[in-house]
Amino acid sequence: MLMALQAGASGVSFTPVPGLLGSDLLRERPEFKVVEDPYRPGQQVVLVPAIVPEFALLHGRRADPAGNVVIGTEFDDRLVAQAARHVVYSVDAVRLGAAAALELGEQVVPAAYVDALVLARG
Amino acid sequence: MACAIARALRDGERVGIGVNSPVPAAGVLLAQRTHAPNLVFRLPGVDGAVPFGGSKEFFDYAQRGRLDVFFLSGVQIDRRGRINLHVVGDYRRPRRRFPGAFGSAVLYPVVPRVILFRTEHSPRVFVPEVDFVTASGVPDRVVTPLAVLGFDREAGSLVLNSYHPGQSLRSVRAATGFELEAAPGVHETPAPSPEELRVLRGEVLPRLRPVYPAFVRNLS
Repeated sequence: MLMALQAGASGVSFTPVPGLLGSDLLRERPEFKVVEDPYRPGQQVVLVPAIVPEFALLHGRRADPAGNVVIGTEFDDRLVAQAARHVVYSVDAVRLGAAAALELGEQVVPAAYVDALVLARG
Repeated sequence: MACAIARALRDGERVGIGVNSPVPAAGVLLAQRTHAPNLVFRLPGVDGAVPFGGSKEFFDYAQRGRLDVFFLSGVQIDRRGRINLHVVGDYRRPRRRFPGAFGSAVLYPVVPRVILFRTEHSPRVFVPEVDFVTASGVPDRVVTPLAVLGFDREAGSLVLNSYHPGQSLRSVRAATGFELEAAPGVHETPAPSPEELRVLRGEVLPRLRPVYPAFVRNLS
């Protein structure tokens, strides 16, 4: 799923995914395709379509007024924000310079990835 | 050149600036300080630029169609707007080898407005056919020290949009290695205004100094 999201983020329509061969997922998910690997003749590889969410509703810790959002590094929200067509972020606080100083385990989702910011009080 | 680039940008556009592109960088910052305060741009090392996670995220952004404008150049640029960043001479036995595509082959076809720039306008640069097609696309325009060239989509060739003060249709043609037609309404490029020069010297160059120290030093 992460590789499919990465394909969406990279603007390609599908991506090869290692493994998956022998999984019943291939039976239940007809959009997953098994093809011969063009670079390793005789070996099979699974292709899955890119995931491009219409909307991503995400939550961050804080943001600056420009829309740069500070989030933790433990999730893959940054990738989701890149793959989605429209991104709405809720945050606990909005203040000037919020994205200028980060603590260990924090990262910035740049405003270029964010369409709308919602202040979630309390 | 920086003024011609700045004037080509519209407010709110999302603009990428590549490596070794001080002139486009100056143009983008000039536009941002004059008519386009809401430009979104990528320029590592400059305040206010988008903090992409490395070049990979920047390329992803462009590949999924979010980037509006990018700047490319070429050792050679031909009549059809194709650029050569690889070799002069035969690819397998080159007379000169250059650094290579640097992503241009991906970006030229996928970015809606690609502005070409070249600090040398001469017949060895503007050739009828590039020796090697590094990247092909439809250029928005080409900005040089002599002129601004446009692209005639029907003819599929570069045309002269405007010649800079001190130049003429004839002088630009003489510096171009292929038959350069004049676009309808060809005119002289308006000279940089006092306001443009003030912003360039007073506000743009200080911001560029950390990224392009030699470029700024040579202009100061």
